[in-house]
Amino acid sequence: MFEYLWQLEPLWKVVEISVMISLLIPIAATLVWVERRMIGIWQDRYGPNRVGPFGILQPLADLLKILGKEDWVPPFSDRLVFVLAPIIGAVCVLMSFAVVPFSPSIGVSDLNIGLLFFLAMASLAVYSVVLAGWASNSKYAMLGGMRAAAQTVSYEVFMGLSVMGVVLLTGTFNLREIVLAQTDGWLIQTQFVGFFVFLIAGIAESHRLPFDLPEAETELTAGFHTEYSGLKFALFFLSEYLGVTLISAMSVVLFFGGWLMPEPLASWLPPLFWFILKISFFVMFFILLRTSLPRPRFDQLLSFGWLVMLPLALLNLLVTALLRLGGII
Amino acid sequence: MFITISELSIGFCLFLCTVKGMVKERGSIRGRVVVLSNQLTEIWPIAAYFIILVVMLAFMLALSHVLGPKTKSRAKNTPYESGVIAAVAPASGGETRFGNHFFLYAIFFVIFDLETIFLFAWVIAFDEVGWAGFIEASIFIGILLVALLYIWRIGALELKHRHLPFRQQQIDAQQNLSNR
Repeated sequence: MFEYLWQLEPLWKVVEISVMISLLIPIAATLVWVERRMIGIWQDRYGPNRVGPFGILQPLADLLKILGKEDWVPPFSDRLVFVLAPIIGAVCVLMSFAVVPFSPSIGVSDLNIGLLFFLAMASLAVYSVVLAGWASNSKYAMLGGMRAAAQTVSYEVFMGLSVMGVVLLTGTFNLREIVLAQTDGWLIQTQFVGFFVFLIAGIAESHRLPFDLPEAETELTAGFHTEYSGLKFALFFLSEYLGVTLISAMSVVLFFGGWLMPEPLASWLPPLFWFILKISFFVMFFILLRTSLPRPRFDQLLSFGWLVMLPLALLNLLVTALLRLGGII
Repeated sequence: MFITISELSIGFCLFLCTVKGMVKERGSIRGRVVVLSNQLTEIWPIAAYFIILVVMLAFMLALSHVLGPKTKSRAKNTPYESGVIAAVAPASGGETRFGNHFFLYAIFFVIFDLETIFLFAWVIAFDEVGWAGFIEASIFIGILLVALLYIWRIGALELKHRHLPFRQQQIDAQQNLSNR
């Protein structure tokens, strides 16, 4: 009977994919609650604590409320593009999770160009904000969309460059192989400059504070999603929090050894739990950044990217290559 | 211009060397078929993932469309304007124009990101090309840095500078208003 089992493999894969998608979205929604709670604690107040124990059912209440809101498409907008834009954003962010290796046995696909796939999806995500800003036909949305385009485009150049040191040391684009190559030691030991650049580029790509200039409330009301409401707004919100999770997951995979841990610790918990723990650490770091840092001016943001981060990423690559050829790392 | 052309040509040579090295390694047609079928087993879950994802998102949007109320009111269908008369953006054939100061960044992005692609080809073939590849790549990166220095020195990266005349206009306009 076992010879027919291989035919079931696609079915299992589809089940795995469905479970993963249906877990990722509630996780992102819960992250909203976690963030509001943590900011509350850091700002010496409670945060949402009414729905369920510690307010943990808040995301569920939010979701139900959002589903009951009117699905409003502004009559002055470009209707088709207006509806498509949030979908593009959510799809691009969620697609990147398809190549993330969660544990030795979990992961949708071991694409041999996984890292390039992630970068491609990160670039495609800019269409979502630009199209949203343009289709809304409102001045704040328009300005937010333009800012988003300039910011994402600038920070993307060295996001690709910063992970090249990793590819150079491991010799592969396959994310699972990159994790396995870190069995002897995490890449952060040699690639801390690359990690620094990657993290900053990641924050800018996911439009998080302090780099949330496309949606800066004090300047542009809500930026590119000024005209959005109901579930379409929720999709933008969701993509932002999924983006945070994604950047954390990618930092862990590329620089912090994915699910791997040094030996005494590794046997305490299953690999998946270590991976989730590391991701939560970075997510908390993102939230801490939001509570503690002010927003820069837009031209400061752009010149910082081009004049500091880009040369830093290039030099990091050169030095890594030199050390590798010299046999030091 | 010269810098761009020379960079692109060096990058292209780098790319060709890498591809040549990779083809040499791959070998027979049978090997290539195996590679292709391996790729298929990796790609179909992504396609399935994409389809499930789009169906789910469409379902969510449809659900909210069905569940949500439909209301009408006088000011509902106007764009958010925060007290200033709404400017009509080009999407509906409006006349108002926005100064887009960011197009230069898009051009720089095209230049620099293209070169990133060449560097990707070098990095993945790093162990095969060795010192020769490193020297070529460092010349390439050197030219990149010089180009960056150049666009910085001519002030192409300064937003503030290009904003100045418009700001000055605004200040003048405000002064005119207060004089009246």
